[in-house]
Amino acid sequence: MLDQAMGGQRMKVVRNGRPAALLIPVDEEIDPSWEEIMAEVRTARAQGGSTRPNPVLAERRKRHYAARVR
Amino acid sequence: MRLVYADTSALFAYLHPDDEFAVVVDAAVQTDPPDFVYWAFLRYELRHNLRLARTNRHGEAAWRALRAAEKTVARLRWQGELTADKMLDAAEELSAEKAGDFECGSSDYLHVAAARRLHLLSDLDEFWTCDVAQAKLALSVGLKTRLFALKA
Repeated sequence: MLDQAMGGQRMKVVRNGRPAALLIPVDEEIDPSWEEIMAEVRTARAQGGSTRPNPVLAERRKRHYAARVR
Repeated sequence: MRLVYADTSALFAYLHPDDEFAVVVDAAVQTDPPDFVYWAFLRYELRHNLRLARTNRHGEAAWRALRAAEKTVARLRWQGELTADKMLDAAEELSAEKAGDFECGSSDYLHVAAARRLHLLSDLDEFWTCDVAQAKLALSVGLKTRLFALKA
């Protein structure tokens, strides 16, 4: 099976007739792309609407007291 | 796939559809999709801010995207090398060296110290941020830095 996987073949491993695992070549991408992960976010962004300030930057600006008084 | 250290400001902007920097960060990802560095402090800061933003369906969409990315091995690449105790020491050293020259907060030093560590290990391609002061600090330690600015 390993030889076949190294040859580029993808295999489904079954236990008691039910799929239990996948065996794929080591150089194959198994993770979804950003395109897939972000599909819902991009749809939301495409709908437009108002933007909001970046909260990470806002929090940091509040903390820069020492820099402001220096 | 290239590896980018995106400061929390940039990762939040990428994930949240309503963020002011969302369009410019998303455009950069679409041009050449990278994998992003992920480690304990970055995860904490990002999750915390996304939790606070779960007030509407766009915030929920951002949270779901984060959780989906966290389930991958590659899109958010966990860095075992970046342990909290080591990075706190590195940030302290960087602060001792640079605090007089840059108007950066403590978390800025933590991110830049972590990115510099990966850069020294030759594992990092770029540092992304939406924070002007942090970008200056990153440049000063030799990181190839991309600062995202709002479109006029």
